[in-house]
Amino acid sequence: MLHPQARALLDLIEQRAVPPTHSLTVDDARRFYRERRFFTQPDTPEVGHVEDLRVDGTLPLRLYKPLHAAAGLLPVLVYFHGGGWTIGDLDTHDTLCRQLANGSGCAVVSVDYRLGPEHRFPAAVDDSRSALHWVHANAASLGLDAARLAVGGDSAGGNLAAVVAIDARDNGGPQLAFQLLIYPATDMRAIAASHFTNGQGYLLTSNTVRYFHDHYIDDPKHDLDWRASPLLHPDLSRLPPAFILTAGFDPLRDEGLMYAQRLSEAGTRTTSICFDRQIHGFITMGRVIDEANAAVDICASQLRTALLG
Amino acid sequence: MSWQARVFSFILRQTFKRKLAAAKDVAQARAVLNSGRFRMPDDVRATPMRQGGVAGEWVEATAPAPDTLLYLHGGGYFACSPRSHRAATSFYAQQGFRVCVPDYRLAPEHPFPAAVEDAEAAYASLIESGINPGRLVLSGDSAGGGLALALLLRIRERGLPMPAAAALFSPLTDLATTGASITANDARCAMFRGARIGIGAAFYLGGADPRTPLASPLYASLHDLPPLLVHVGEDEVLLDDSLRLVQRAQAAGVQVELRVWPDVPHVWQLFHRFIPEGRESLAEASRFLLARTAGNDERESNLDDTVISANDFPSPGMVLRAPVAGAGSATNQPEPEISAGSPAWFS
Repeated sequence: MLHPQARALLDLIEQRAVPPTHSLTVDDARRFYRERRFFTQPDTPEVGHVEDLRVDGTLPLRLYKPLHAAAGLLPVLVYFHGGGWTIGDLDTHDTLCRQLANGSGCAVVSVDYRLGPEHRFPAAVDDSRSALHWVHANAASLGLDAARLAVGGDSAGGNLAAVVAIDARDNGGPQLAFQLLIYPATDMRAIAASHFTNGQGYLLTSNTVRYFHDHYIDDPKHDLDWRASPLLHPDLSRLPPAFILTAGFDPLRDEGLMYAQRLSEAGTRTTSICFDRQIHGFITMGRVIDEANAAVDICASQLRTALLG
Repeated sequence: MSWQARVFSFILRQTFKRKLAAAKDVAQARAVLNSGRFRMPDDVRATPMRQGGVAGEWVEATAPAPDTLLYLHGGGYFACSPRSHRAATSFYAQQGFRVCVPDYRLAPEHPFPAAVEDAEAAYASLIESGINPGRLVLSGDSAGGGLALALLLRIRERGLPMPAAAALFSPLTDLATTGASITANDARCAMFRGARIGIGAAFYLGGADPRTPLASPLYASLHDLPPLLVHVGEDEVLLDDSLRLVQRAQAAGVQVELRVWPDVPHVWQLFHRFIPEGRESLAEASRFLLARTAGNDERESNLDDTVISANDFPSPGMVLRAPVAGAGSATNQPEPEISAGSPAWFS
């Protein structure tokens, strides 16, 4: 059963003949994503502090500190925005980052990683790693606690967060306390059943999945690389405790559920919650879909518990 | 549904179906059935195997595979091989199964029950090798689907541990060919004239009664089988082999999921490179099977080794109440109760 508000949104999109993302040029897709976000995103909340930074003068970051921040060094979520590794930026996910900061009492650092097709795999992964390492190394000077670090992201950003968490374990990266994965992409092969059952009519379609994939990855052998498909990594043990959120009508639903299951089976503490009535991308649609606000609350609360105890 | 399914069915009807109908002997029939070619995806490998004295192949992907799937290929019990069915087995491998594909003995050189014996030997050997039956599943197409059912019957007879679930694609369940669709879909079926089924069956039966349960599981008692998934095409001569099997299994208390697909040919899963419904069916079957193996690990849980004494659990005489709904709540729901005589804690 599709949530009636999600249904209404999909109907409106169809009525207005909004061109599907996969039919747009990359420039148009990026522009529309930025400009149209105000229709579905809730009002932008005030935060305690917001500041644009750069990693070594290059990679842009945005640091948020919550309202009523506790004294002392703040724990921090390093956040990777969604948008199929092709669209999205610090602004498209600005509201969500503010909500997560305020709701969790933690700082959030949003990462403007390089996008495809100009910068294909593994550029986004490299940037995500760099950002995490930089935040860890410079935490104190930013008023952040390097010992209480989390990673997170939605959709393609969830993919990057999952990959960076594995990388941190295996390649001497910082100790991470938590990973927040919001309808993450975990398997570039796109062969799970939900790609078929949910591939048409629920905003993120199979065509758009392929469009995003093809802008990020041009060599099919990369689909089997764990840095693109973390589901294919043989060892998912000893990873940071995970919270994985999935949506019932999302083509990515089953690879998210399967990732949670594999993490759990490997002994990594994982919570998996599926919003059965929702579509991919819903968490940033709190202006028109009520459950989005509940989802944000839950994510913020999980983050708070993991980082503030 | 897809134009590919319709076009492919049309082509099959003009080529494969005619050639098979014209085949005069086993060799010619085999030539038609064995004529498929499939290139393995880059991330999947087939390696030779031997299980319980039966040769075959393991089909595995680079993806981690905590679950094992025993795949029984179709071909009327007289044709095909693990190789001819790699379209299905490689897809399953990519979904996270380690696929065991026995090359069971074929009729008429090895009539019934040779195939059943081989399937049984392979399965028993997998269990003996230490594979957790909770993470073991079966699948099969056409005669392989019938064979999978026969295997389940033998597992039950012998008291071996059951697999977690089975997925069957257009299973052949009635060698007596009494289904209405055998004649009703004679023209419509993309692959077979109805009469071919009986001819093929005769190769396998070698004189045995076509209603022998291990040859025709439709006639078996189907109680205590694990959850089954059945996918079949609406236009097939074998449609009623599936429908009647599902009816009988449900009547026997088995959990069965059935999906009937329009426009697709028999065992369309093997043509998934051309027909999207093939991938959809395999993906759905994978999801069905994975959902039933999930969490069946024999691993340590978070429970302590210390014995939990009987005093820690509510006794049958206790009454438990859920927290009372807050004042002003609109609904007046009765509080759930567990009392003597309803030992939910102990079931």
